[in-house]
Amino acid sequence: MGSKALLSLRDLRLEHPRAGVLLDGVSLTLERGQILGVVGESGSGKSLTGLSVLGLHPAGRLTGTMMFDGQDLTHFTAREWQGFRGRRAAMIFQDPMSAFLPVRRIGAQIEEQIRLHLPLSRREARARVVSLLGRMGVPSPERTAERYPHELSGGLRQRAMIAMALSCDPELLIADEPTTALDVTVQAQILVLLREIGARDASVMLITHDMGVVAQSCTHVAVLYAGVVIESGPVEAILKTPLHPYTQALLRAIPPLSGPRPDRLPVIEGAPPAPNARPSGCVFAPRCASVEARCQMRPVFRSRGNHQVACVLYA
Amino acid sequence: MTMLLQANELARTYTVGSGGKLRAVDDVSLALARGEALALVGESGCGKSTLGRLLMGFDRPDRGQVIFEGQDLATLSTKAMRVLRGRLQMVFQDSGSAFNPRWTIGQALAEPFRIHKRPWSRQSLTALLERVGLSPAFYDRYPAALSGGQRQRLNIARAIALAPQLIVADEPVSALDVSVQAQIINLLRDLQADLDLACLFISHDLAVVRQIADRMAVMYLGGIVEEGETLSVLAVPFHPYTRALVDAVPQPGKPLGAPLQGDVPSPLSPPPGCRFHTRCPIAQPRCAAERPALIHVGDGRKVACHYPLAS
Ligand SMILES: Nc1ncnc2c1ncn2[C@@H]1O[C@H](COP(=O)(O)OP(=O)(O)OP(=O)(O)O)[C@@H](O)[C@H]1O
Ligand SMILES: Nc1ncnc2c1ncn2[C@@H]1O[C@H](COP(=O)(O)OP(=O)(O)OP(=O)(O)O)[C@@H](O)[C@H]1O
Ligand code: SF4
Ligand SMILES: [Mg+2]
Ligand SMILES: [Mg+2]
Repeated sequence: MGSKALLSLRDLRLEHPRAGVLLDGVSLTLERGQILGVVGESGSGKSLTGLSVLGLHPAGRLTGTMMFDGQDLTHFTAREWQGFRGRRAAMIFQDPMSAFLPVRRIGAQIEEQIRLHLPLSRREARARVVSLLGRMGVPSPERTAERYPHELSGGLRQRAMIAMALSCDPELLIADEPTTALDVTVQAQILVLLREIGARDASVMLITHDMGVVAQSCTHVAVLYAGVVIESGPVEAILKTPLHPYTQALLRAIPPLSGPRPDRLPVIEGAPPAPNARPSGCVFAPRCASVEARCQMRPVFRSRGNHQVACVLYA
Repeated sequence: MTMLLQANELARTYTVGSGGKLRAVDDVSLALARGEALALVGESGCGKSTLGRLLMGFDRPDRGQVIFEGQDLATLSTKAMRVLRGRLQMVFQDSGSAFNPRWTIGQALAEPFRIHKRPWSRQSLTALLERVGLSPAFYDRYPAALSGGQRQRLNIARAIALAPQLIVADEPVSALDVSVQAQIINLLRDLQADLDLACLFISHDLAVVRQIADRMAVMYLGGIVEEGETLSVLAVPFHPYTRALVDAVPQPGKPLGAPLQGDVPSPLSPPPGCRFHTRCPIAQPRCAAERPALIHVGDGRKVACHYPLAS
């Protein structure tokens, strides 16, 4: 690890003045060429993790380190963020309509984004837009560039948003639930595209609540629970031999699509804690089947083989 | 065998903004036996919720009939329809807004009894809470105290309050986290077996459908393209669209790939012939000209395709 890492978060903690501690120990590493899945349930802190990397998190006390290509982002000035966002790292969201103004043609909007960061003429920028849309698998890119956002189908809009995010060749693409609003057949197309991007254009942080998406599209995964990364590692290792009791229980709770149908699904009793009611020890302790006295202290996130895990069972 | 619910050649067309005609449900026939769990699956906008509303009598078809226990819903008086309402119930995707925030959970549970002028007691309501796995301690609290999964349990408690024969559940677990979703799936299955409840389960998630439904029907652009026993349909789909749906579900160990190109065509101008022919990987010239009918192919399976797979 170390030197090759494009992005490395260590013990990131975000304390909001009213809502409480929203991120409470986020550690993850993304090396160049990897697709890192950041997976977790609603409210676990996935989006905040992505937003923090772009300095877009809600105001509050942010501690820990965020290294990007050797620079510590936590010390960035407003001016430094401006040169960074969209240029070295870019983000896409579940709802592409939020990325585009409804009243302007999508080509013009992507062009503007390009000219903000790169010294290109209008004509050069326009050519770049068309070539980008083409690379994103948009059919007849010249014509599509002339369309308004609402004239495109959900899948095409998502491709256009990805084109805009990649318009200035960022090294990191953060995709926050990019397929959640799409139908499965269209989701499959976008996942194929993200895989191509990971291999060709940029490293990808793929935020999702769907373990199936992670299994198929990612090379690595970080599992978030209640604001804490509780386990991370290569995807095959995590799926085959999950170490953390939460990861284990989560994988068991997913209904299978083939093989024998279980009479009942194994469940995790209860629900995740709210940020202001998070246990001071292991955040999963109240729902954990293996809980013991030691769990009242927050377990350290440490390496175990090719996994990293925060659980006293592996201390 | 007499069916609990039978729909014959239902059609529902909406007139949209510019005077366009949108066929949300197009010639659908369907039957549900007592105590049976049937799932309706398909991509967004294919007409699942519209069909669900027609079957419940919330919306009237332009054509066709819905027959519940031998009675045609269209011929029922308002009063008879209200009596029937107690026996047909609906559960929606948890939106958090289904409950009046100023009512206690006990009051919310009493509502169906009040509406249908049936007797209730605190004891019967707390028993209902326990039936869906909620602590009786919630009785005097407010919905704001509930998590998403607990709210969905309360929704389900309300739906089963009057001992209905049929529940239509429209995406009941879609908004829930995986760890909570499994609890609700188990609950729905238990209730279905214990109360001999028929269930029409609307979902876009095939793995959830497989866990919960005996039989499934796949919809595409307003019509049913395949129907049969859930495990058999998912293991060996006959319709190319069902095949693509199964192949598109991201699963551990399955290689990444996109089984279909393009998006679903607009329901305002559906393709002629087989509605799937514009995206179908095995379409032939005949498919663009002739609409295939949904026909029996043995083993309780039905398929609407000129060139069904695996046969
Ligand atoms: N601007 C904000 N102010 C206060 N609290 C916030 C803010 N943004 C997020 N939170 C809280 O922080 C926690 C983590 O939120 P986040 O949006 O990162 O979750 P998530 O994992 O992306 O969830 P989802 O799957 O629902 O998108 C949640 O409890 C959320 O309510
Ligand atoms: N009241 C209405 N007026 C006009 N069009 C409608 C109305 N209700 C539904 N539609 C249209 O009818 C079609 C079927 O809608 P329906 O809600 O039944 O689909 P669905 O399968 O439930 O989709 P989803 O999975 O997104 O819930 C869609 O094209 C929808 O836009
Ligand atoms: S009828 Fe033709 S187009 Fe339709 S699904 Fe069958 S093969 Fe494909
Ligand atoms: Mg989020
Ligand atoms: Mg619907």
